[in-house]
Amino acid sequence: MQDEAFALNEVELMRYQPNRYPFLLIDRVTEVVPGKYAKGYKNLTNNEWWIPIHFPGNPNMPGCLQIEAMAQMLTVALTSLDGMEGKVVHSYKHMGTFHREVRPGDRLDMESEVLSFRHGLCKGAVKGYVDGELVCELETVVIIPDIFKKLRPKGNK
Amino acid sequence: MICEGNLLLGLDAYEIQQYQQNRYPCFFVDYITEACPGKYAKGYKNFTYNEWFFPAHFADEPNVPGFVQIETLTQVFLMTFLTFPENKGKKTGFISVKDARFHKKIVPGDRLDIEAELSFFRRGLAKGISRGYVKGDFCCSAELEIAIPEIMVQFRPKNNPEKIVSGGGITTK
Repeated sequence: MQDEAFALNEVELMRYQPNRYPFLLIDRVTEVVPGKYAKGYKNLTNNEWWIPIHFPGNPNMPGCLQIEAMAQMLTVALTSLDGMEGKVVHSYKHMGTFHREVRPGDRLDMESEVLSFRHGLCKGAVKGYVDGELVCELETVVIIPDIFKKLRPKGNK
Repeated sequence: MICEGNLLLGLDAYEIQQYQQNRYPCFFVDYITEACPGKYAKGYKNFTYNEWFFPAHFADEPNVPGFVQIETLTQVFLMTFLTFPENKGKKTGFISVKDARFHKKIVPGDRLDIEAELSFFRRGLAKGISRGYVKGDFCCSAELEIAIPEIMVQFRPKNNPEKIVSGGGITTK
């Protein structure tokens, strides 16, 4: 396992992240230590597909997409481990808290932390900031089906 | 720069759309920090991978196409003269783009800060220069001439009624 932190730009990120346009909700990873934490950000702009519909006259980032962006940031901390490149990660359980609206023109900084990772199941916590102010939080459990399914007891499907 | 008139501060997406008619997916400005009608405007646009041109330009090396940079420079420039109360919400069209320069590649995750100056505005014709910076580094600039066809047509020479005032595909007979 690598212990040194490294950064990823958009192209490098796509090696680790199977999500693609229009559902890749991270722009840059500034710091990642595989299996431990990942930090990075997403820029918000008026030229995104949800802006005209959520909502006309008051554009802001939908909560479900904030959850997705934060979960993707946690994923980066897992898929950057050796042999996990580009693996698909599924949500298992999310609990999100939203403190204020995230609007076009903001930069959503995210910090994800892996609390535990065993048998393809990961518990994690992610926080989102705009200009240093906490705007959203996520407590989550995600699974990597490739690994998780192999370890599931055979008699209990 | 000193603003003598009615200085506008902090216009968000909704307020900008009251002044100009560009809409998604051709709306390339996020926030106007300062706008002085008749003089200058400052604003920015965030670039994120979740925009329609990035997967296509280019698949293995996403960067902002030049025409999007020109359009972004222009949309901030519009705020220098559409902020006059009599011009609010009017349509505009290009007359000319001179000396467009692109010094640096802009990639998803960057924020393009733009400063636009208006040097001339009469009879519905605006001239000026617009410059873009990423983290303080000079990135792109263009000398722009933009018309408001609705106003310009009123000043059409009477002895040449056949002449058509055009701009950016908007033609007013």
